[in-house]
Amino acid sequence: MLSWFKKYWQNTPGLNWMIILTGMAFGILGILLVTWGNPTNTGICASCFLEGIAGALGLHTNVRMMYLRPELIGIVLGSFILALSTKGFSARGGASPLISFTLGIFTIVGSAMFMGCPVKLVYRLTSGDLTTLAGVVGLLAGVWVGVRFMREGFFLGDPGEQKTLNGLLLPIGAGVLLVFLLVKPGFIQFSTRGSGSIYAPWYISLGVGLTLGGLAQRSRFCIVGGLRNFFLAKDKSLLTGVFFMIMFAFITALVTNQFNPGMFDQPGSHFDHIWNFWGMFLTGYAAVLLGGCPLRQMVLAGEGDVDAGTSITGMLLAAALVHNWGLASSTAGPTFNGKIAVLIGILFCLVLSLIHRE
Amino acid sequence: MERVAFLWQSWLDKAACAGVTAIICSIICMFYFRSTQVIEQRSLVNPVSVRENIAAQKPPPRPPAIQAALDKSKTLLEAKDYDQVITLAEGVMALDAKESFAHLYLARAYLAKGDMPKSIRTYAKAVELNPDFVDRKSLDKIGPELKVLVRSAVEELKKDEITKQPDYNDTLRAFYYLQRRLAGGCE
Repeated sequence: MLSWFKKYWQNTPGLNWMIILTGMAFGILGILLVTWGNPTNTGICASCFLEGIAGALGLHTNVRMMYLRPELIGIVLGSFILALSTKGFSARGGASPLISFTLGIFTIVGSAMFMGCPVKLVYRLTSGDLTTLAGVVGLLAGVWVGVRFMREGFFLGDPGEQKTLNGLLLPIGAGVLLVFLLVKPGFIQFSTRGSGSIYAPWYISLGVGLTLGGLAQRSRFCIVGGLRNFFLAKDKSLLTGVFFMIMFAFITALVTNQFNPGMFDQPGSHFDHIWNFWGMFLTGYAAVLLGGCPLRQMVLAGEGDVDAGTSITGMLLAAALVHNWGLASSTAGPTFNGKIAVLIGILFCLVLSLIHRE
Repeated sequence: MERVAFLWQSWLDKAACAGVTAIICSIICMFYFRSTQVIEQRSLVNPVSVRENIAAQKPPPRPPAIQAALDKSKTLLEAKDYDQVITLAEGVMALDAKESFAHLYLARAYLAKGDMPKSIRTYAKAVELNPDFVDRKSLDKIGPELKVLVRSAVEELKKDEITKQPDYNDTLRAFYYLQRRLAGGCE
């Protein structure tokens, strides 16, 4: 086994310990966050947690989804701190900002249909939730289609250098949210019931976020990015990190007694496999066009990528809209509005892929 | 025109154009079928009403007549007068279809009378109207009671007399819904 891995390592250019360590950390810490208090199968989820943040900021009215999740704040700040300390911080961007914004919106619309982002998909899958299988196929299909269009010449444009303040704004925003979380000013709302009221202690969540953000900044870890690189250039380096994430999440779920294989009594899931597929298809497709999954966008924003910051702003808007417009699925199933939104999202991505080429 | 020709360069472009057309047609069809109510509502109750319910920070006080009927239903449940509870709860639901406690009392009465399928469907509606029923931090929580029901229903729902009922699929859907709600998660 060890010799096989050694050979695999030698035959995989770009693979390094940092990628493996990041995958392991995402796998272990994400599952442990549930043990420490986060909602079941939701150690880390960009879409769910952004919905919580949007609610806490008063952007939607679902009183059960209002909490400033320190994990996401930590990921942005962790990436920012690491980028600063390794001189990796550079304010850059300006390539198709409104397209990034819109793709950010549709990434969350797809995730809200599936009830989780690609990272949560891994946690749900490794905890035994078989309803995610359609989502896995959808994500693979979405990434594959996006990669095909990249091969045909889809390109958002070259990011240019920006004034430093542009790149600093999102990490500063994350810092302000952290202050709000600690000070709890009257205009920030916190759920007293529902999933928004279920969370690990803030210092643990923040610590996990900082760790994962820092590691992901160094390793460029990304689930969608790993699949994209594999489909595009047979590059298995990032995908190996994803494999380690899956493996260690599975082991941790087994050890912490969170592994509950089955289809029927799975938390935060629904049976509509067709729409699970299309939801994740949209997320995978939009994320490839954006250049990474929602968590990767947060890491990029932390190191000064203004386009990633713009896409996160779109995601935050979408996190509010999915509740205000009834787009988010629930355990009862997807909504009509949600289905239409997903179809419009795929339509947008297809038209964009067709006409936005270099 | 060059742009249009460009769109037809490869099979992928053709497939994408076909996809765009198919999606536009799908959206039009979905709206058409929805207007003719052919599309089945996946939600157990009207999702808009549920959202309104969830959005309410503090629900407005109930009209006195409804409150009195609910209080009486509760007392009658304890006195095991289930027929009277059913009449009263249905009366409340006629006045306010979104009254979750009326659904809850009705579900309990059905269960006590031995009608498990009807009870499961009504419990599911109650939970969808009022998610606090399965919230571990809520004073209204009925999680333990539901867990007992779900556990006993696993075998009950396999019985022939239940599987042959015309609304068996609705019962199963409500049962799975209750299972998933009890499992927790983030939504």
